[in-house]
Amino acid sequence: MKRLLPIVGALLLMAMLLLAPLRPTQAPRSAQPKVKVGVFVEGRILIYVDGELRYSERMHSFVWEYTALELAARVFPVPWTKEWAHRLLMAWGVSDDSQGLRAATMTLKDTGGSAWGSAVLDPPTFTDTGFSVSASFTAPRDTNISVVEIYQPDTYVEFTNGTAYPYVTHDLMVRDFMGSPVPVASGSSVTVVYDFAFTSDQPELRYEIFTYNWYRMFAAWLYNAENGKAYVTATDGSQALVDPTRPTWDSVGRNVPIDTFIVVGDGQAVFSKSAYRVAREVARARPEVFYDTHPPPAGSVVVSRALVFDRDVNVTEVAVYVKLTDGREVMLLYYVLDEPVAVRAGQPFVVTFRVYLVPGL
Amino acid sequence: MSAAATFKGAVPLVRAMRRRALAAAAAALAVALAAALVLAPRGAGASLAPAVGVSVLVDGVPQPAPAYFDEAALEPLALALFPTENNRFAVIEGGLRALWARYPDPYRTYWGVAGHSARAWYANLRPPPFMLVNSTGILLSVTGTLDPAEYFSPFGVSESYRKLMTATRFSRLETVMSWRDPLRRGIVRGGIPVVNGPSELARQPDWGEPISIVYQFYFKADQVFTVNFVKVFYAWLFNSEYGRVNVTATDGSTVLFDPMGDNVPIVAYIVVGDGQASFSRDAYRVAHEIARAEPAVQVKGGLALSAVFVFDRDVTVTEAAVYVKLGGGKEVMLLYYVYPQPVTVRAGQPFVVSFPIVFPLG
Repeated sequence: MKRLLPIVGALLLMAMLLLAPLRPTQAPRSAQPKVKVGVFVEGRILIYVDGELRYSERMHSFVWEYTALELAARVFPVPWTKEWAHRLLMAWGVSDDSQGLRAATMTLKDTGGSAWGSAVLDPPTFTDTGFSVSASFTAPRDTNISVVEIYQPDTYVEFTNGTAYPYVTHDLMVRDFMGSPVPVASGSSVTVVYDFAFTSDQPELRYEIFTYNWYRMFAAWLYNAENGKAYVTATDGSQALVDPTRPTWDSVGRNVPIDTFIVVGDGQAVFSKSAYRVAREVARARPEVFYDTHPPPAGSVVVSRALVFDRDVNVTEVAVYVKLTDGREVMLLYYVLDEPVAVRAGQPFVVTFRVYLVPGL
Repeated sequence: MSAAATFKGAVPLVRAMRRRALAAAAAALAVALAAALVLAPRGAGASLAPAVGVSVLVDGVPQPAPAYFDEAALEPLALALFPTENNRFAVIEGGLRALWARYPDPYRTYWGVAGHSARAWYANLRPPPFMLVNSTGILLSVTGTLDPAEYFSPFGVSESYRKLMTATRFSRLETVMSWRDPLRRGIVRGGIPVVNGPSELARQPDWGEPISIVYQFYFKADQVFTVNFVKVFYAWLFNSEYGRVNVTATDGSTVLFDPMGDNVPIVAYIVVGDGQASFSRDAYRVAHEIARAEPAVQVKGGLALSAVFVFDRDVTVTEAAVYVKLGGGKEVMLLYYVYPQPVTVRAGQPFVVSFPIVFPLG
């Protein structure tokens, strides 16, 4: 009898494997009340000297401890974040009356820490997985590249709640140390390229979740200046120019996010990077937006909300919309569920998006 | 036989069953007190007394341990929603509590979700209110999210420390004016607990993850609770700019109920009518009003509004309601009951209407 047990077990296993494909694959899952997805900011830094690639490494860029706060405050503003982010909400872009630098710049430093080159960033070039940022230099002497930094332009911020204290800042957004310094001869032309990409924390998704709109909004946020303007596709299908600049230091950006919503849909959804709205919206709510600054270099932004429906819903898609200054809405993050999730009326459904400002998998 | 009637929201069935056995004593008591005979609703539509339940969900998971209303919240609730000439200037806890926010205050948006007694974390509950309306009641869900940074530390948090989140408490912020002390005319802000528990969470927070907290209030009764009432209850809970809600006034217009402004209740009435009435959660007035009176409001062990009417002619009462007049002048119907059978009330006989609401108190 004991000899038969393994045979019977094997037969049962084979039967289960054979029957498994017969299970309905599109039946809504139940009792899964939440969706959590994350976004990693990936990328490589590439250094060309006289047209020849001399350096290519994974970036570890976002070093400032408040970078995540700036991302949360500017890209995902909600009415209640004004308590802690009011001054930064106003920091969308350089104002027309600013006397300082009006463009995002890149700075190169040698091993001694001396900055030997600073150049205005070229406008971003968008790719299928993200965007590229570049700047070109001419070496004034024999030197090397040990550190690359990207700065946003000078801007004014309000330091205290209710009292305006104009303050000139100079935001260091990106800093990368070269694993080994790149030597540069006097007179050489140098081009430094950042290839930013966005990947999911769920391996099966990889590059899904992120729309072209997200690339453009992230670039506008990174530049936060005239040279970071970018067109996005609004939910009505029209083209909207994200314009971080502002007329005066105490005004908001000309066309930037001013409100944020988590949107849930039950439509026949198919992910596409060019998607600009959910297939069919069934509910929306402003999310809670958190930022995590620990431990640098790191940081993440969490956009999360529980929604409760007044009827049974088969959720097929979730998204993050932002409302721009001009009133149009833009879908930035989009996640089509691999299977519909059945949510009963009155049952909370938790949606969480997290953007990690660190390389991921 | 007295034709006066008392509406107990919908009187408990058990009371109806006992009625016959207690008829003699009840009649004697009614005569002695010049009060009313209890007329219980009959038929399958009879329901239990209106009750407000509460439950807590963490990350979408219902918590098995019960949650309770804090009895201390009932008096501010009654004073805010049902002010009368008698209680409008009530003094509680040594000071006149400004029952509605009135003042812009960014910190007012904070609601407490407490952890261990030695360490509290706070989640802000956010609009909008989610309402599910059906024939058995109205489910009001308010949601909040606990910041992972509240329990995430760059220095690391020990396993035992992380597990300290063991309980929740829901607090409503109040403004207390220390009017008794002329030297302390300032405004004192504080919170009152509204819901305590559950005392033990079924799920511990994940490392560095936001925690969704959902409070679900269930206003259970076949009748009585209207959408207007639940909206006003929500406004009372939030008591801030985020508590602004549109309600339907008795003239059919939409008005903004504003905890931050003057459009909050200034006086409450119990209204009776004799119209061709049918109950609806969206009802906003009685079919035909014949009388109104300011109610007596009791908060001990629950919340009850009652009033005694004496008519100068015979009337047939079909409906009863609670109206509140807002600071802006409009009236809003919050509670509504349609009698299963019309009640004939003779001239000169007292007719008692009572709206008791049960709250689960720990």
